[in-house]
Amino acid sequence: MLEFRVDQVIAGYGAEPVLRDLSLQIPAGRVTAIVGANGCGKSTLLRCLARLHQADSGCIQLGEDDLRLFSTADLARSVGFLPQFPQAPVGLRVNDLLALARHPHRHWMASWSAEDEAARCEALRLTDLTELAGQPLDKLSGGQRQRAWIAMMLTQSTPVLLLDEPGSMLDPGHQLELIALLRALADAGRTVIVVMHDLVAARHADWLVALDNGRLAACGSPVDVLNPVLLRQLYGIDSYILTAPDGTPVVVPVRQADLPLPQALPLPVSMASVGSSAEASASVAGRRLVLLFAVLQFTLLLDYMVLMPLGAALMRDFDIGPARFGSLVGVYTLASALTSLVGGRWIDRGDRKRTLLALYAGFVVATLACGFAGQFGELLVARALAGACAGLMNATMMAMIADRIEPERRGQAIGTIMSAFGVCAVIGVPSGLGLAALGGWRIPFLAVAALSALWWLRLYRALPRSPVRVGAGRGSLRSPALALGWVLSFCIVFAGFLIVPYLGAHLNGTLGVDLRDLSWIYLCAGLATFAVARGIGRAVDRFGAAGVLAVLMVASIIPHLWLTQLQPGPLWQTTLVFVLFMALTSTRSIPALVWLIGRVPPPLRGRYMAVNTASTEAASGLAAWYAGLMTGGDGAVLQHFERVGWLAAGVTCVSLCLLAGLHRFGASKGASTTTTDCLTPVARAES
Amino acid sequence: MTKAVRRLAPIPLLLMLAYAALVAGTPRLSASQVYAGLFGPGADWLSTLVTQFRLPRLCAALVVGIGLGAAGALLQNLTRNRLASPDVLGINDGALLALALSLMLNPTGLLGPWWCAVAGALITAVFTLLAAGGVGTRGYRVLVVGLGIASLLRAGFDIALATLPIFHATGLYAFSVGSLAGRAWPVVTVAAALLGILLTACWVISRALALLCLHDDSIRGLGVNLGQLRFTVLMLAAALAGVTVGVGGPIGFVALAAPMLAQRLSPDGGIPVWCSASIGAVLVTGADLLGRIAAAPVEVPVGVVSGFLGGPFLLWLLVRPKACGAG
Repeated sequence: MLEFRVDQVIAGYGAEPVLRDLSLQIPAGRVTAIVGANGCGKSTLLRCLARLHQADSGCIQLGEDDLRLFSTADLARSVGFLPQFPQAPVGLRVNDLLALARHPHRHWMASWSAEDEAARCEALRLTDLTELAGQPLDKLSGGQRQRAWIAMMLTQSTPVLLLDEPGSMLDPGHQLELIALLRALADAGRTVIVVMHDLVAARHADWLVALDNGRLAACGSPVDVLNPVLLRQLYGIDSYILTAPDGTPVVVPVRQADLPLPQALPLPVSMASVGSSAEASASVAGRRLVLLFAVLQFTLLLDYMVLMPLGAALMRDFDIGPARFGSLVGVYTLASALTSLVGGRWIDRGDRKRTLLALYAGFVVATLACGFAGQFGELLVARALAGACAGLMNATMMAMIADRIEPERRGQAIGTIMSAFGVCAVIGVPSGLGLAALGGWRIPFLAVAALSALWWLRLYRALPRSPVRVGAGRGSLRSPALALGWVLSFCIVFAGFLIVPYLGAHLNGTLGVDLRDLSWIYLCAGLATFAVARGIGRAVDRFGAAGVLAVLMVASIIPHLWLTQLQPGPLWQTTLVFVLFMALTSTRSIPALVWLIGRVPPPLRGRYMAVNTASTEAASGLAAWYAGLMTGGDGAVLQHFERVGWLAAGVTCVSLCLLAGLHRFGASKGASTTTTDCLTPVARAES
Repeated sequence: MTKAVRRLAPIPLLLMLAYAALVAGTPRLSASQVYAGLFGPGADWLSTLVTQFRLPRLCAALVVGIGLGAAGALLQNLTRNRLASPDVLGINDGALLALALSLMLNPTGLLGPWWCAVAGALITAVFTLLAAGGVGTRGYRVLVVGLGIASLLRAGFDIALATLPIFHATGLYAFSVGSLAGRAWPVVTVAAALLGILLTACWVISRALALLCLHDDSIRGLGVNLGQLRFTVLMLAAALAGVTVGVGGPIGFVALAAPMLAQRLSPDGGIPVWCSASIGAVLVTGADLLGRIAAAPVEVPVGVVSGFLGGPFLLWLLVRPKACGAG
C-alpha cells in the first residue's frame, strides 16, 4: 500500500512559486480529490506527485521512499498518470494504445507476453471496452475515448493512479460510471488521486485536499471538510450544504449577493435580424464566386489574346506564312465551337465544380504545351486543345453563375466577369508582350500556364461544390423560344465581328493612324470597356436585361455607321469614335447573357450555354470571313468598309426585332418562365 | 494481419524496380543476360556492366532510399509534424557544407571523403538542437530554427563553391543537385554497413519511438527519459541523412514523401519506420531509373527527378481539403 507524504514543498514555473510550502498526506487505497479554484496549483501538485515536475524544495515520499530515489522504470511501474488533454495520432486503435502502456514492463527485446495480454484484457473489461478494442480512437465518442485513456492507465498496472480532471468532458451518466470505476479500483487496493473541478462529484471521494492559492486550505474527509466558509475561501461563492440520502454532503453553489450583476449591451440593429445577415453572407459568397471567375476568365482571355501580337515571332520561328498563322486562331475557335456542340451533352451531369476544374486542368496542360511546342503541328494541336477546354468552361461558368447568383444580381456578376476583357487588354496583353520581348514567345504561354495553375489551386480550394440539380424542371432544349435565343446571340456577335477583326487595318490603313498610336487607342478602349462593363452590369440589375440590351443595340448602331464611314481626321476624334464603338459593342454580351440564361431551366443551363458558345463562335468566324469577302481583303486598304457598317447595323436591327418578339413571347407565358427560375432558395441552401 | 500485408506492399514494387534498374539502359539487357552478368558465365563486358556499374548503382539507390525514408520517418515522429525532413532541418545543407570544406582543406580527390557528410550532418543536428534549446513540445521550435540554419548553411556552401577551383566546384555543384551517377562499390559497401548499424539502432529504440505520438507527460509517465530519447532519435536521423548525402548528394522530397505515404498505407498510429524506409527505397530507385531512361542518352540527376515529382506532391499535400487529412 503506497501513500503519499508531501512535506514543505515549494514548486513553480518561474520566479513566483505555484505551490507555497505545502505539506499534506494522501492515504493509500482511497479515492482522493484535489479541489480548488482555477490556477490554485492542483495540476502542479499532481504533476509533482508523478515526478513530471521537480519541486524547488521540500520532499515528497511515496510509501517509505523519497520519490526522487525511484528509477524511471520503477516509478513508471508504480505511478500511472493521465493528463487532462491526452493526445494520440489519428487512426490509433484502442488495442494498440493499450499496448503502448505496457512499455515499462517490457524488456526492449521482449515480445508481447501472456502477462501483458492479461493486463490489457483486465483493463478493457473494467472499462467495458472489450467490444471496441479494435476501433480507432478517433471514431469513439467522447465518453468512450475517455474510458480508453483510463484503460490505458490501467494497463500500465500501477498501484497509484493520478488523473487530471478525467470527468470534465463527460456527461453526468458517464461521470457516475467513472466514479464507480475509481471507487472499485480503490477498493481493490489502488491509491487513486483525482484533480476535480466539480464539487458535486467531489463528494464521492474518501479524502479531500483543498488548495487555495498554492497553500493547503483543508484536508480530510468530505463530511468534515466541506462547509460554506471553505467554499467561500476557495471559490468566492456562497453555498448551501445539504446532506444526500446516502449521507454524503451536496454542495449547492449560490451567487454572492454583494457582487454586481454583469451588464450586456443589446445587439446592434443590423445584426438583430437573422434573415438580413443570411442574405449578406449569400451576397458575400456570390461576390467571391464572381471574383474567382473574373480571374479565371482573365487567364482564358489572356491566352487567347496574347497569341495575335506574337504572330511575327511565331512566323519567324516556325517558318510559316500569315495564312498558317491564321489557322492557329481558327483552330482554337473551331475546337471551341465543336466541343461546345458535342460536349454540351455531358456538361449538365455531376458536379459543375469538378467539370470546371477538369476542363481548367486541360487548359493549363494545353497552354503549357503551347509554351513547349517544338513544331508547328504540336502548336496547332495544343491550341485546339486550349480552345476545346475554354469553350466548355465558358458555358460551365455561366451555368454556375446562374445556379448560384440570384437573378437580380446576375447583371453585375456577368459585368464583372466581362470586365476581365478590359483588364486583359490594358494590363495582360502588354505585360505578356513585355515578357516575350525579354525571353521569346514561349515565355508568355508559360506565364499564363503558371498563372492558371496557381488559379486552379485557388479554385480547387475556394470554389463551392455545385451539383447539378436534376428534377422537376428537366425539359427539352427543342422549344423554339430557346432556340431563337441562340439565333439572337448569333446575330449580336455576327454584327460585332463583321467590324472588329478589320479595325486595325481600318485605322492604320484608311485613317492613317500610326502603329504606335494604335496601341494607345486599344489601351483606351480596354480601359473604357472595363469601366463600362461594370456600369452596364449594374444597369441590368436595375432596369432589366431586355431593356438594357435594346438600348445598347440601338446606341451601338451609331458608332457602327460612324466608325466605318470615318474619314481621316484629328486623332482625338478617331479615338473617341473607336472607344465608343468598343465600349458599346463588346458590352452587349452582358445583358444578352443575363437575359438568355434567365430563360433556361437550371438543369439545362450548361448544355444551353454550350450551344450558345458554339453559335457565337460560329458567328464570329462567319462574320470575319464574310466581311473579308466584302472588303476585298488585300490587307493594306479596305474597300467598301462602309457597306460592312450598313450590314452590321442591319443585323443589329434584325436582332432588335428578334429580341422584341422573344420578349413578348416570353411575357405571354411569363408565369412558367418565373417558376422554372426558382434558384434563389437553392443558392442559399447550397452556400 | 492485413496491417502487416499493407506495410509489406512496397516490397514487390521494389523488387520489380530493382529488376528494371538492372535491365534498362543502353544497352538494354535481357533477363538471361542479367543472370549471366551476375553469376557467369558471360562475356566480360556483360559482367563488368552488371556487377561494376548497374548493381552498385542500384545498391546506392537502395541505401539512399532506405536512409532517407527512415530519417524522414524518425524526424516526423520526433517533431509530430508532417513537414519535418532532413532538408528542412538543415541537415542536408550541413552535410554538403562539410564536403565543400573538406575539399577546401584538402584538395586532392574529386569530391572529398564522403564520410565528411555524416560528420557534417551530425554537427548540424547538434547545433540546431542547441540553438533551438531542445526539440520543443510540438517540434515547431526545432523546425523554425532549422529553417534558419538551413539557409545559413546553404549560403555558406555557396560561398565555398565560389572560392573553390573550377573543376572542384563543377563536380561539387553537380553533386549538390543529388545524383547517383558513377557510385562504385567502395563507397556503397561502407555506406551500406553504416546504414546497417544505424538501422539496428532504430530497431532497438523502435518501441520507445512508438510512444512519441503521445502527450509529453504520458511518455514520461511510461518511464521514458524523453530528452534522451529525442536526442537519440535526432542523432540517428541526422546520421542516416548524412550517409545518404555522402552517397547521393541531397535528394529532396523523398524524406518528406516516404513517411506520409507510409502513413497512408497503415493509417493507424505513428509513422512506421520500416514501411517508410522501403517506400523511400522505391522512390529513389524509381526516380533514378526514370532519370536514366527518360531523356536517354542524357541522364537527368535523381535529385532533379525527385524534385520534379515531389513539388506537385507537396502542393497536393498542402491544398488537400482538411477533411481527409491525417492530423
